[in-house]
Amino acid sequence: MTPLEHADAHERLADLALEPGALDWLGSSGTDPLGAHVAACESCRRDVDAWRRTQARLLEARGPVEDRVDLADLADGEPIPAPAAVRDAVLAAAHRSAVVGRSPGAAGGTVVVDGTTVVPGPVAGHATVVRLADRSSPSLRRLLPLVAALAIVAVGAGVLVDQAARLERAGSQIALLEGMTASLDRVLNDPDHTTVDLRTAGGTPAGTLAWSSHDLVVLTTVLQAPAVDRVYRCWIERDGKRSPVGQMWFAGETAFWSGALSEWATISLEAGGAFGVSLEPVSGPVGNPAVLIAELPG
Amino acid sequence: MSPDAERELDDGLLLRRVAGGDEAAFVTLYDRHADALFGTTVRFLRDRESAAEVLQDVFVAIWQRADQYDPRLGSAFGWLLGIARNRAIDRLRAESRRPRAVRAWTGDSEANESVDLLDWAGRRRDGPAEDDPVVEIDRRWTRSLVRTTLAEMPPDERQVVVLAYDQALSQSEIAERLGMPIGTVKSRTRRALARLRARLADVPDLRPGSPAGAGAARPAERDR
Repeated sequence: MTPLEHADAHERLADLALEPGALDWLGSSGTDPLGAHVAACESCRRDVDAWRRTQARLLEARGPVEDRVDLADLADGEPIPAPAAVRDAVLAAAHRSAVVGRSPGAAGGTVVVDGTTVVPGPVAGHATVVRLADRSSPSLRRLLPLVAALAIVAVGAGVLVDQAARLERAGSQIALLEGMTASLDRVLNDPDHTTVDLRTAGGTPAGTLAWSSHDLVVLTTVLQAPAVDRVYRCWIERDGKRSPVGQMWFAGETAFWSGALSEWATISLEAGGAFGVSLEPVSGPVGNPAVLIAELPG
Repeated sequence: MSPDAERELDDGLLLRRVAGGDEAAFVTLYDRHADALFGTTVRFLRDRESAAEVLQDVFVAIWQRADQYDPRLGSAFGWLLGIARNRAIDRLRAESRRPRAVRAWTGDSEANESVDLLDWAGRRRDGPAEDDPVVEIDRRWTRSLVRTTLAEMPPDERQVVVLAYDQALSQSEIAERLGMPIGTVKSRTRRALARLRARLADVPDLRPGSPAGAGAARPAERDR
């Protein structure tokens, strides 16, 4: 296959794509040189697939035959630019976490717990609201006031102490807590969310694991902040194999991990096994015994 | 890297840089796609405020988890769209359970369509049917994306693609109808379709096994 042949095929495919449905005429026999080329050329097959998906999506957007909408009716709008405030908030959040290190779920907002405690977040105009939902588990409910108290401490430190390092530390704690509360908000607002107790190796209740279809939150107050060369790693163990989830973050005495399942999960939380936390070296082999464990529903 | 050079990078490279903590790459990625994601989400949710919150969530997630993007599983924009769609659906589901108020943004003929169709949790696992809410939600997201892409298109490009799809006119028939050389019509249609393909070819599909999503389903599955 020469480059010229391939380039020619690519051009002819683009021409075929101009006519809706014309790609369907593409054959794969030797009597159709373009079809034969496509059959033998992975790049061109991907090209054809992409055009077909595009055309299928256009048809899908128009709706079923009996209720079809003209493309002209979908083409009568104006561009809707994103608000400048969102850009500012997003870039500020990114910059803040870049300064203090990547943190899970660093979104801006306000924390409301039990409808009584309000902690203004650093990003104006956006509210992440955490309500102590009636449907939340008792163990989760116990931890929420603690989260709010930690947020107050963090903000207070930011207001009263003008030393740059402390401000930065306060800012990082706020960012961490905001991210966790944002995830918690989404979990609690999902009626299908699940909570299970975390327990120590000795079986003592030690925290909560809560998740919805898209978010996971792990909260505990029994862990001590690790030494600088150690981290607490979260994982899911199934059939003797551990799949990493992330490392625990600390704000005061609360250790947590939160994040969107949608971005990382390739394993289900509903298929049994165990969720665990173990103290591991920052680098090097992992696999230490669990210090916290939760049985996952099968 | 200079801002000009940054603007030339493709999305996959930008995501790799974002994964390494490159704020300039993140800004470029935001500026490149925020309007499309916001426009699509506003049209899907029919609520600017909620769409703004979703957009913020999406880009914070991208900043934090760009290292999880795998180019073998689909385009970078498809990955971004998958995150935005999931967040938007979460928002719609949450909104559907709250007391309703008249929405500020009602510039859509479907504005009064009930969001109760989002009460699909659980049912989606049973597999899609044409009247399944999953199919309807999928179509609504695709339609929102198509609207957004067409709205951003120059009018002369929009015109030829509409004639081709709505009236099934060939390129030569369009040229005759518009009284312009066929070469001009072809180049406009090509540009229009290239824009649509860049947005639509990797739209994640909620429906397993859908022909439209046969190649595009993988990013959505991964995003789940």
